[in-house]
Amino acid sequence: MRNRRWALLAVLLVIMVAMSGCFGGRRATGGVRGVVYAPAEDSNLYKAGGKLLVKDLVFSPSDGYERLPGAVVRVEGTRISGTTDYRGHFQLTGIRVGTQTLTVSHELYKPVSIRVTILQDTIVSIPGNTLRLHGRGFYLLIGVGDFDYTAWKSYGFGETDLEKMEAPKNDVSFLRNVLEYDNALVKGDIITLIDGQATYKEVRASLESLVSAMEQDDYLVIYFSGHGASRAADFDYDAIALADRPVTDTELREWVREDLFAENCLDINDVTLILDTCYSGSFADGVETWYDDVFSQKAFRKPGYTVLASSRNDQESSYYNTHPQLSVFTDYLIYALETGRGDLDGDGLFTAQELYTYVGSETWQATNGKQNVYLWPSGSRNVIATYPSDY
Amino acid sequence: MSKAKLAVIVIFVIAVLTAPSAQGKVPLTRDPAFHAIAWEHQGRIKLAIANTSPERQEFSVGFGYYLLGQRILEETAIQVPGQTILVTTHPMVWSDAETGYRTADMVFLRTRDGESAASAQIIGLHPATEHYRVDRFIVSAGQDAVMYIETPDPELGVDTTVYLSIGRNFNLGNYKGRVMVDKVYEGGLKRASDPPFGKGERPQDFHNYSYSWRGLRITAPTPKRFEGVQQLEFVIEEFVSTPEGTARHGLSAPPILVYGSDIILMEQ
Repeated sequence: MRNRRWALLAVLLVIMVAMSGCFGGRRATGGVRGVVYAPAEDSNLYKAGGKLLVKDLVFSPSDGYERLPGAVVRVEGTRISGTTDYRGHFQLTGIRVGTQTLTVSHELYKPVSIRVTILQDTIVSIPGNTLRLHGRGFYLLIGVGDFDYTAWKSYGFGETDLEKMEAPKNDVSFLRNVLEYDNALVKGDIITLIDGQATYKEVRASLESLVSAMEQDDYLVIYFSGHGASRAADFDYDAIALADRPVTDTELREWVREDLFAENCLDINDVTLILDTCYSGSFADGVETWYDDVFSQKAFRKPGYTVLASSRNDQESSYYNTHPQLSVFTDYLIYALETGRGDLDGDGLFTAQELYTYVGSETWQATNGKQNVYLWPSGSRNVIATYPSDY
Repeated sequence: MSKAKLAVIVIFVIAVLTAPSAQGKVPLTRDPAFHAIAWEHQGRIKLAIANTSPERQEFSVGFGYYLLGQRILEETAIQVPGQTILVTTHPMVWSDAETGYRTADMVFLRTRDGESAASAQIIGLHPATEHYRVDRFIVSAGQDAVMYIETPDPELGVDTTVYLSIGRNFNLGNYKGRVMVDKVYEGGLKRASDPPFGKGERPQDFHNYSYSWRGLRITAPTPKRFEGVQQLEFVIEEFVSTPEGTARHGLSAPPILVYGSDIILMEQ
């Protein structure tokens, strides 16, 4: 009788666990992807009994190899397996985190095994070929959600007109962590300006100091989270709100100091502005703006510049009203960089186009289609960061 | 220890070890229990709030606009019965403050305890909603949702080319359907044979054109078996190509609400 009671209790527990979705439930898993190559049939390698090769999606092996469709890739000790597609590509997910052995087999070739390190919630590329860029990354990260209302008064905005926000400082703080620790790009410098630090004067000086330190092939990324306004949304000019006053798209572009690039014999070919503000697409919409006698034709709509904006020039951007507050666009941007999901082609680089595709889609869904990410120019290969840092 | 006791302990340990752990991702705060859309209609504002919960909900509804923060010009309270889409009509709201004349183009909803619940652009007034029209903003399950997307922007220069890419599928909650692009209008002004002139006027005294939608007529056939309320979602990507390069961004699809037979549509 007593044993029966225990057995009944055991059955009840099994049912409870199964219903809660916990049974066999979340464990730390990740994925891996790569390309399988085989010696080409007419090559000397084939005649010499050459082996299968497993590579990442970027680096091709030397001549004499071709991509192999129909090869079976198996994770040893599990039931996880897949077959390469017509391009020789494979991708396996749900693999337990840690070092795992992959075995690749095909009826015409001897099986080969390689070891890979699986990372949580991440699809890693086959290691062995690290894409090293020559350039260094220079970052200016600005988040303003608290303001000097005395200074702003002269621009017609009082305490009740300029809404305080917590999200910008959190955005910058989390983004800095990712760029510092999950970014394989050699860091030139990262400057962070939050709330009261982000004055008109300080932003300008910081930008100038970064540009002065740059050399050929370096990357400059300017990120801003906070309030924005645009002519398309009935404001007098396209601008972002710094701690003490607005700065227009024209002014900010001029602060990049193209003359310093010229002095140092540098090409402006990898300057990226990432904005998470309302109406941020206005910084590259080609609409003429002016303010304080500064007149512009195109602001950031120029060759060499890329703008990745959280919304169009006529749309608001949003943040999660949770603790800690984070802006929706930046939240997905951080997630894309941290997990590698924004590296869509698996080449280890996060380009502006890839981030547009990934972050744009997620942001659109999260905001019920109200926030459309903006990219200038379409297809931009500007590098924001590289991934992963372990290889 | 008996085998049964051991089994209980083992199962308990497995349950604890395999329980889902907290993830770093911030959850959405959007409440799926209700939706809000607003549109301009004959000089007034129609506001539809869908409450799919069984309980009556009270909202504070602010009409205003966004400029470096929310600007609420007028506020009113609306109670929405459970499992109901309530459509209310409101006068247009303007601001004549120092910063200038401005029409309210947004609606901000807050719950009784002051928490921000939702915001909606007023379609037809908000600049981000000017690229589409719809037959109906609220569609019952089984009906076709019909929309018109305009392209290109008439203000763009002659050296500009605009491309629109419409996603092939639409989402309605978990339901996926096919988007049909029925018709591509030839564009621009076209000749009209029967302009609505008044008595005593002669159409033949004029060159008569009508302004047609220079774009696409899109139909989304909604499922018959459907419960609750969902907003129709599909992707529209716009590419604006100029001699300087191409910019791209999404375009908002018209926010059409689709409701099932368990929901009452009520107009006040």
